[in-house]
Amino acid sequence: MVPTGYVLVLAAVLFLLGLVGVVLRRNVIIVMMSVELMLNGVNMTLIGFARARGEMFGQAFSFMIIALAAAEAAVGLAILVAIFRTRRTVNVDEISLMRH
Amino acid sequence: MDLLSQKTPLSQRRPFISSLMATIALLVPWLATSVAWATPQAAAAAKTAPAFNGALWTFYIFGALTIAGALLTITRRNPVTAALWLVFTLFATAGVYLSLHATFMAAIQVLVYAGAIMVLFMFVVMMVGNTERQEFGIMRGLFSKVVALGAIALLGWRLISLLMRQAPAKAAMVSDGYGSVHSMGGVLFREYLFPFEAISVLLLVAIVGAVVISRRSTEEKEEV
Amino acid sequence: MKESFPLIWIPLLPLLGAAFNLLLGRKLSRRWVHTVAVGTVFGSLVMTLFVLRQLYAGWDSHHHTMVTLHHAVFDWINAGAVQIKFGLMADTLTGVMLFIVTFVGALIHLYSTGYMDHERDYARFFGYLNLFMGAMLLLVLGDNLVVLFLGWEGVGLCSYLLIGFWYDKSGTQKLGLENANAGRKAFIVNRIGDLAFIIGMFILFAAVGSLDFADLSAAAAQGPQGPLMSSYAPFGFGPFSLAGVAALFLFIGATGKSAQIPLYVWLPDAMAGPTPVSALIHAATMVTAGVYMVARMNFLYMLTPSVMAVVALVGALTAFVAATIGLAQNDIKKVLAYSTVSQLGYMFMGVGVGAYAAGIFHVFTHAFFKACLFLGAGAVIHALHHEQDIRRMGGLKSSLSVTRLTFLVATIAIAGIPPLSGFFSKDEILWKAISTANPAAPWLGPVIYVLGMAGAICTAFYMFRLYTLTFEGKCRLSAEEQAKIHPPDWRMATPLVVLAFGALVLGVLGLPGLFGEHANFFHNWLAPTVDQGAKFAALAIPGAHVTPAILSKSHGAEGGLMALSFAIALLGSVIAWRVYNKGPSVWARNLTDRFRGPYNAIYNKYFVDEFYFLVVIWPFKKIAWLLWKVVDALIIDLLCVRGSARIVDLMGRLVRQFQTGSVQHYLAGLLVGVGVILYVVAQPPDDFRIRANSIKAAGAPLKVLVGERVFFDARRPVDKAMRALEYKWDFDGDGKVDEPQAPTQQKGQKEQAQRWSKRQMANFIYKKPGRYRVVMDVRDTRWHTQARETQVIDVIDPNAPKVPVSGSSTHGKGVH
Repeated sequence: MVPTGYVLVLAAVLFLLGLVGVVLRRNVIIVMMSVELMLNGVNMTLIGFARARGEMFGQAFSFMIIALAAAEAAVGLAILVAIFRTRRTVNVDEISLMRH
Repeated sequence: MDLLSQKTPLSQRRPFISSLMATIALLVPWLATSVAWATPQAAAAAKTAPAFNGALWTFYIFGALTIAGALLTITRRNPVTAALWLVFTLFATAGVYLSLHATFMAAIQVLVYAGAIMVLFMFVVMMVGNTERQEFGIMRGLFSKVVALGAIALLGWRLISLLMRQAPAKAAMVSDGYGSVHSMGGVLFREYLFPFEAISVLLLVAIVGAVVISRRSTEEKEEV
Repeated sequence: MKESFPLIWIPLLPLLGAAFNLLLGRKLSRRWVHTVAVGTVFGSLVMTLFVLRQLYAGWDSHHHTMVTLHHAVFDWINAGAVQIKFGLMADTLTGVMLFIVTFVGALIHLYSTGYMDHERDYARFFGYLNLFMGAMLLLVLGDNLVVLFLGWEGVGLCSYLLIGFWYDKSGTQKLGLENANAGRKAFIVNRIGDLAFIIGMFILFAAVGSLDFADLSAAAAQGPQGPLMSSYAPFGFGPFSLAGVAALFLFIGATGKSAQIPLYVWLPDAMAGPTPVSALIHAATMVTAGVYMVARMNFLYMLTPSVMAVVALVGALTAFVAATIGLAQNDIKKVLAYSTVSQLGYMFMGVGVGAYAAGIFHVFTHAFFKACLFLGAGAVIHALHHEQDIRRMGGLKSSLSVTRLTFLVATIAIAGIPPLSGFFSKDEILWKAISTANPAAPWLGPVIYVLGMAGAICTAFYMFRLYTLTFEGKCRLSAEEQAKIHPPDWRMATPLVVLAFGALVLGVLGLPGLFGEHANFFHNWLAPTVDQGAKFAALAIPGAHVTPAILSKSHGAEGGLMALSFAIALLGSVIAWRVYNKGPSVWARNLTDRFRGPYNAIYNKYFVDEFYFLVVIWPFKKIAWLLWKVVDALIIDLLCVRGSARIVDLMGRLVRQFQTGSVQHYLAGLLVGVGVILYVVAQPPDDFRIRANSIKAAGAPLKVLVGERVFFDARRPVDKAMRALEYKWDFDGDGKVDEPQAPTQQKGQKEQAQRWSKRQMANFIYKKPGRYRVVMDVRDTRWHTQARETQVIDVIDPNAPKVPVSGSSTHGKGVH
């Protein structure tokens, strides 16, 4: 049996590492990968709580989050491709269209 | 400033060898532990013989691998390498799920995440290519990044120190079929049928949206 | 008796015509424009004739009873206690006014089609003129003061619009700006009066709770206990009766609209408008609205003899002053304008002595002869291509024979020579003036009679001066100007003839009492409406109300004064004829040279405009300039508007720096926010209270006694799931932890410092007096946070004679 606190700590570490990646990296693709890491951290908490309560609902929820992550990745990468096609870059510092 | 300066140019390196090897190496303990330690039966057995907690050790191992994989993912220069380390991390996460008796979710993690989503990532990485210098954004926006890292550190410290103390140490007993496809199907198609269908519609919309966004417009086609 | 009648169509027809001409007229031909404009007014005239027939059928000349026609159009204002109905009413008084307005109005509309033939803004002119007709008819038809006021303001607006009609006129005598300024002057002077009018309405509403004429007269009929008789002492003045104050304010409004002293100054300037406008608005109809209002509110005025004296005196003064000014004017329209002011003064004199029928009769006759005069003047001006100076005219009787004839008839009428209409109406007013006793001012009758007679001789003089200078003698125009003179066409001539005929014969409607009790048709006709006030006054203020004097019974006196009046009019006329028969004579020049001072005074209108400029306009402009520069430009524009904009701009510049467009920056900001919130939330609550028996009052530092047990209290409701608080106390500020105490003395100080207590309270007894610093450390083991709070406390020895606080009592020094 795994203590739930351990699971949560692991999930927090995963989430924070993803956050660091999002903040530091300049390549949009790696930023998106870091977002996937954060999502996994969240997913892990859900599964950890599901284990702690001995129910399946948390797992069902994380299942849906995976589906959601798939959708997010698809749309996000599509946007990325579109941006790359017009601007020839995947560097977040150079993609600052929101300023204008 | 290039933290991890490499002598050889990016295009000539074969960055994914190490991560690929690591991924393959991960499969062995995964298979072993999943069969041996992390099943509910094994957990029940562990009750009677508390000397060795298989699930906990599974958790330790894969947890460590998860953290290592995540670290490597966010530090690789080359997106291909980073993606492969992400695959590694996802595999390790699946191992953690196993230690939590979420067998179906572990399988889904590997199939959907490491399989489908990462393939999509790899596809885009290949399409966009390593056309430019991939460096850490240390110097540009240094201030904001330091501040953000400080905030993350504070957040992590508070969060982890709180979790270490607060989270319940005990977990509930689980039944035999916990985390199996059968029980998962029961939950998904009974209690959560509508959200499930909604999610599938969302996926469909996302696919259509992705196609619309990423395809070239007709004018561009004419130019080409 | 009340009858129903669709009265709304009378004002509505011209209003529809106005809407038609103002909205569509520019696109349509002149034929359409004047057909609609004149047609609608003639429609109103026809309806008015129907109304008069109905009124006549219901009128009993012997018992002085009548029917009134009513039309409740719609509920206008419906707000709590304020219930204003848009109601119209026609009684005999309204009937007279309706007839004047529609008949003269229709003739002047017809005249205008000729006069304004070459005008560019044909449709605009007729649109305004129709709008005026609608507003004027609303004014006379309204069955309450609010509808009356609506028409009152409407005619004021049309007056403004039509005075400034040639606002861009150039190349003729006046620049457009002068015309526009004349319009503005009229408007602003009327505003002053209208303000008083509104105040009067407020007072009446406050007293009676309604502004319907029926309700007001019912209130007046309640005798001495009625709401209108309650006394009123504003700012310690008075006491006045409410009726008096309201009547006075309403009369001030009337002085604005009807050009009486002190607000008459706009009317002479109003001659800047086209001449038909002067005839219709500024002679025949609008300016008589004040007289109509006073006659309509006769029940109110009769209650206050002192205000009536004011009305009569103002009227008489205006009649005289304006007539003297008229003596020296050289502009044909200016003479007529002052004549109008003067005649309006006679009307107020009439209503001011309670002779409402006489006043309204003068309104009636005046409308005919003054409209005829103005239209004749207009014909002259038209024929002479906008020449208005009578010194340059003369000898026009041959070329403008019809104009000359009608003008002469009207001149005789206004001069007061029998048997023309003006004689009867003016003489009746003068007779009533001297034969009425006003208890509030017994001297009033002779004074206003003398003023009126002096005005009458001036009137006869200046009118014949005007006539002879214009039409008699030799023509003083150049030959080529003479060649261009053309007589008026039928559209302009017909109204002249009709009006002159009216001026000639209409006096028979108001034959004096000399010819028998029922000879005066006009008096009997109006009696049901205007005689009620006398009855109410006799009830409310018995013995103090305005009544006919003993003199009024004497037919001999009436006849004698009538002859005197005739003689005076004849005298003035003959002198003027003699003096000006051959043009501006040497005799006249000698006279003006001898009396240069008085002549200059009247020539320059007594410098009233200059006086007003100095006393009212100039200070007002300066104040306005100051308000503009200080309040508007400095405070509002610079500080409030531009200042706040500048602040927002600065903040925007500042905040814009954060708007880099980089997602990572935004995320960093988000994280910083999370960090701040987390930090704040995680800090342990760090305040504590000091309690002791000797502490009576709050203050810093708190004072406690030596040897007393002092409690330190950090208790608070704490969520156990969120907080795990631990405390450490140092009561005397020596850096050593006093609570929790070390279990044994051997333990080192270091270990002591790491001990924490979960208790939220502590207590301590101070052994020595002095000032101490109490330090509380608190930590939250759940969040790993720590905080420190310090308070200063004074410990006093109650037995010691003085508190041993060494010199400085600042925080740092004197603290242990």
